[in-house]
Amino acid sequence: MPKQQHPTSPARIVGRRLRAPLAAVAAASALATLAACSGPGSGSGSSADATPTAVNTAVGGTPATLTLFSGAGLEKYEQGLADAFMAKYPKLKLKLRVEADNNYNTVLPRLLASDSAPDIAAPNDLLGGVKDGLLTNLDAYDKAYGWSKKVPASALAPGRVSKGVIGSGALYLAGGSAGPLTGVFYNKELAAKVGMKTVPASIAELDAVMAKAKKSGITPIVASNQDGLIGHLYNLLLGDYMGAQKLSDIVYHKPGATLDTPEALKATKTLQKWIKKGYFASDVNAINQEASYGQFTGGKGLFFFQGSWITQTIDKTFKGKYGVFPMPPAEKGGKYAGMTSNTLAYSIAAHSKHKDAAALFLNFLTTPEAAKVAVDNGYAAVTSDSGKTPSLSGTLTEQIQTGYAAIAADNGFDSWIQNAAPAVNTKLPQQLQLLVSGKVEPAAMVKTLQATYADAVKDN
Amino acid sequence: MPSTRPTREGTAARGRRRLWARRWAGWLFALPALAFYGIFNFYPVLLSIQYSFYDWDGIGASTWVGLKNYTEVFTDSEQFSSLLHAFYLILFFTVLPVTLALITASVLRQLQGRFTGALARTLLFLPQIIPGAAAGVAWTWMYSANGVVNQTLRAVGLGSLARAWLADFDWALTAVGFIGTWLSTGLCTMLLLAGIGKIDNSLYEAARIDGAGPIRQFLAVTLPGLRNEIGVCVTITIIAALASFDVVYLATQGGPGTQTMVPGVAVYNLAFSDSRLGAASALAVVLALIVIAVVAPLQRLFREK
Repeated sequence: MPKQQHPTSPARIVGRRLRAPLAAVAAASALATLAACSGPGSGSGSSADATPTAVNTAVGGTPATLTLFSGAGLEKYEQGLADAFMAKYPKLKLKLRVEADNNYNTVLPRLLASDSAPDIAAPNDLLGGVKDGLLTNLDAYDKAYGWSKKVPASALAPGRVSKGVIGSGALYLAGGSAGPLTGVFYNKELAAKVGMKTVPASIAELDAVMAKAKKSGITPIVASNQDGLIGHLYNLLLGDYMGAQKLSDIVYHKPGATLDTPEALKATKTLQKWIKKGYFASDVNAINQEASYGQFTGGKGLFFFQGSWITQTIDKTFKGKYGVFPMPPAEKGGKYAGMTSNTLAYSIAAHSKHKDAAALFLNFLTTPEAAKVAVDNGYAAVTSDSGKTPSLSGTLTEQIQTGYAAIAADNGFDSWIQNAAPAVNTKLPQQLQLLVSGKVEPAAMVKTLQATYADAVKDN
Repeated sequence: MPSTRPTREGTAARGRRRLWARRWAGWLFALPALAFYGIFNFYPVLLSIQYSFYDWDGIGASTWVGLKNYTEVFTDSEQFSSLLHAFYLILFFTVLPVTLALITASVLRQLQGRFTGALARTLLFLPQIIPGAAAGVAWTWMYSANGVVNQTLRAVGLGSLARAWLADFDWALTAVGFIGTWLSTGLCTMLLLAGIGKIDNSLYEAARIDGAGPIRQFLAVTLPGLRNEIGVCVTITIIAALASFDVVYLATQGGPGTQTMVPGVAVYNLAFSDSRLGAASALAVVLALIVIAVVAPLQRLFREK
């Protein structure tokens, strides 16, 4: 093999002579970049148009094309809204820009900050979006259209932000009022098999049904936890034991709100107890949401703690074979609690070039036409159904409406604790996986989550 | 090359000018590539280094935090353990594949030219043309509670070992590691086979005449002859192990808990899920330094004497 390399081959010369200068240039430019005193991102101040004052509501006849940023799981629903909107205002076009659900939250803020921002979106990190000037202050539109007068205050409060706290102040997320029922989906055939004849009225009664199922060889709970979606059940338990208000306070960053409470501990211990009793499939940590849909529709388990958005996906193969009831209160006769989010409320991007037309869409969301699209897609609109109590009879749509109404009557709507901060959204699935595997005790888990939350809130 | 022999005219100035032209002409041709390298590789690296000293959500204003992000890399148990996991993966991405590839390549050498040899080479190289992301998804099915892996175990009477591999706290990282083994064995085998083809056949003949058996031939002829190729295999696969992302992200996303968290996934989580660009950049910079620290000495070790 040729071993001798000519001592003055080009590679050698260049190597020796240029190594030093190149290194010097690299070091110098590195220092120059670092020394440039402004940090990254500090110049993104296009907030001038984030608070429009002169607004126009007569834009229905002016041709414009709007973009709505949609998640794949909600595509059918949001296309329905877009179609209904375009039917009412034929001059306006509303296009969906669809992103995979697991990328939605990470892509959205970057897209909103870009020049090609969508006009309309439902941001999950509302506080971050407001802080970074990505969302339009809707107060002027609220005044022009009178939303505050025709939409329930409780439906608009989650869209108000003041000094880094949600619940009051300027409006950034608005529309009508409808949302998913997050509750207990059940397989009708298996429910009959274990003799569940009425809706369980307390956590203890729910536990009893699951114990019975376990005994007869039926997996009590279908869930996916590779993606941490046992979190739905965990959140329902938190809401039950802490009360909806205390849980919402954390999500809304209310000063003094904390997860480190005996009630949260009790909720965590209940979940741990159910894990230890074998209510979940042993490989639940390896199952993702799609696979869990397959297990539920495949009759692999009795209960499925999920939100009514799943009907959009699983109704195709499983229609009529499953029902839903709201999470039972902690004690018999207690208050219902459950997570929801206003699926008829959207934000307008600060970078949108068609803010007036986008606001017309938000106004459209307050109409019965929009509410009908929501109900058709498994969401519940606030109606006058609240007299009924949850039951195991009736159609799925009826069950969703009555379940939603039961929670509304108890003022029991809260939100997912993951929504408190992005860091909590990362931490919770890990902690739930640890809990499932018996690698963390409830007290330590609650403390870890609280520490993550406190750390994230401090940064704001 | 014809070097700096004095020209017939012999004027120093002219000689210098020609030298200058010769030295820079090459750079002129390299300029487009260098520009691209600078814009798309070098500049982002500098930016990452800059970001790593800031607390920044990627969009809004940022604050200078000095070395805080770097201390976090070594004090935050999740970030630090991700670095340890990366080193554990070297066992599966590098040690196992290179060993297997050495054996396979030596055996395949005997089959060269025959149909079975071509078939074996094709099958071995197949994983290489499948993207890591797709492999990650496929293997999650194989590893699932009722997947192929467990079915096989049950079929041979080892049902007691069956488990949801990727959900098991003790086995998840090893299970992910084997996906890496599957992915890189083919590449290493191909590289080593090419290397073996270059070894002069007369060396084997000579060894045989001297009475060397297959193992002796392997140790005395094949192994030294493959020094370069082994160096390339080891370097590529170690970088793949330390900087792994796609396979892990698709198979486990770092779970269960943080049991399979690797730096690549941790960087992604910090940057895009937690919106902490500074912390993500610091971890990325540390990872890059570790890769260089590990790979650079290897280059020396495998360089031809």
